Amino acid sequence: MRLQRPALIVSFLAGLLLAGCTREPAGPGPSAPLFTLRIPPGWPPPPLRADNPLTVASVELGKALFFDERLSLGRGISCASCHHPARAFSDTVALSIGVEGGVGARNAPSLANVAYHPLLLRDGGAPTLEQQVFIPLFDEAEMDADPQQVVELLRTDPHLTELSIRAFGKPMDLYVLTRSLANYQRTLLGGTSRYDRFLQGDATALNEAELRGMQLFTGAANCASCHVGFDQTDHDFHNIGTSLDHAADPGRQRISLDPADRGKFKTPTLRNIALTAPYMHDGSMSTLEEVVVHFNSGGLADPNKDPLMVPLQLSADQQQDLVAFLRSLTDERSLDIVE
Amino acid sequence: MSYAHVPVRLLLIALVMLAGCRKDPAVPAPPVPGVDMQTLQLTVKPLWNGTPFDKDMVHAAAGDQRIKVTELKFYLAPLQLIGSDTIVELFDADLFQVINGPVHRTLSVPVGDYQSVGLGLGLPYALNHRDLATIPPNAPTGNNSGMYWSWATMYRFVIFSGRFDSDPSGTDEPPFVFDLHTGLDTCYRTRTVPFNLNVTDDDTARLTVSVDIARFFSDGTEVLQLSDGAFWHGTDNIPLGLKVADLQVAAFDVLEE
Repeated sequence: MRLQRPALIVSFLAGLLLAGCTREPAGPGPSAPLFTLRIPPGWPPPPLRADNPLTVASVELGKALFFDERLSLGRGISCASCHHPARAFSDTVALSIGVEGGVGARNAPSLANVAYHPLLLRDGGAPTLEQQVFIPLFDEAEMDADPQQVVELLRTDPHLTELSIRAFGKPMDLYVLTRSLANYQRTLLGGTSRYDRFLQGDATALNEAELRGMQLFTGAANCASCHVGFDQTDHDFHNIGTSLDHAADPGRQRISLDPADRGKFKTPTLRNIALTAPYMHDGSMSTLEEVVVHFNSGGLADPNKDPLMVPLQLSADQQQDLVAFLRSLTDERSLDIVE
Repeated sequence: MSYAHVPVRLLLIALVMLAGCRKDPAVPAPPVPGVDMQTLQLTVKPLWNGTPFDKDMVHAAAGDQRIKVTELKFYLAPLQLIGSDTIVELFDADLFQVINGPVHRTLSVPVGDYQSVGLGLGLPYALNHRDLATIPPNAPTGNNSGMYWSWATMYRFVIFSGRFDSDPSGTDEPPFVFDLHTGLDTCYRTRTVPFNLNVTDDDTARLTVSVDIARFFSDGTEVLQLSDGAFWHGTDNIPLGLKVADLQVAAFDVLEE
């Protein structure tokens, strides 16, 4: 059965027209080599996005952009300015400093294992890593840059253009920028701590104090009610009574507008917690000891405080053991495995 | 078996498919085969107490306030003509900046009788949560709109800014700044305004949507007293944001012109 020539011509033209009207830019071809994640034993593979394949080229581009100060239009701030690799991709100060001395509103969280996070930011305001990229770009206290201007600046770099074309088949644009940065962050997996070695059967990996701390963590201290699972977070939002004044930062309520969410923030991972001081959403606690004292007290009497936040009656020795255990959660290898 | 009819059918199918893949959400739907279309001239017109709005004037507002407006931008999403058995979407989302006076759009609409106009102020959930990186920069919801609320990965719905004075006897430039940005899904509002519009083959149709800015300050019951709260950016004082959203959508009308 054969179509007559006019039919073939119309079919061909229709096909051409349709090929040119896709909403999403063309991604890399199906044969593009994929990046091999270093997934720790016992951990599930992180959820990846079908519309943003984790290709080697996109990850390489993302890493190049992560350390590129042109994201702040050349004003000295890159992603790495506030997410230091040596600090499990967190910052060393309570509130990060952005362009022209701008002070951020919250403590910069670790990026370890963000590939597993269903929502990003401490209030869960970003549904994907791709969309999260816009937040520091626009934020006046961070990069304060029009993303379109950033794209135009990056397009002047032949190396980035070459990487962009290799990764996404086209020069830099907002799509390429957000996809590549998201993919690089997806590769930042931990799971190489002494605690992990202990779980994998090395009985000598934790000392006595750390073992006692681990028992408290899952037992009397009740930490594991929220810091649960391989990444030690329930990915939920809790008010833990660190402050009674939420006018400046209502937390999850900022997104939901629900008064019951006032003062709630996302449970952070505790992995690499020894590297990520200061602590809490506002960086208001300087040391792990201070954090444990807070939880032991049961927190301030906030009306939205989580019912699990009650005085723990831990002794001073027990608190030290808990801190010792938390220190065993530090990865022994770099989170960054991108060449 | 004859395929003489195939080219026409394929062409129609291709046209229908192309109609569904437009990139700019403000572009009106293309003509539908077999349906008579007519041009519609849409005007979105700012008013103050029923008279044309003048941005250079200091206006008297409810609550003994003096108001000078310096910015008013908002999304209408969607704008619909509603007939007895049909709803025609004029656009799914468009951005209007009316501080300098009326704004015009030329649209296309099927011939017919319509009894009301449906409008949404702000962006419905699906549009509010789109990924900015997938939207052409110059589209109404693109990067260059200046409406993206990055901290929420959503959009501002209305930007309403200016200066105010709580002393109605003042004569100088109002001394205090107000800046009310509504957004977040809970601030999205819809309205249906009864309005008879007969679109015929013969003549260009005209539709004027008005926004009476004076009514942002009172609907006859509630008063927006800026001295009680002149800033809203979604982070605190949630009742203020919801009140502003309610008052603003009630200020829209459709005019007989």
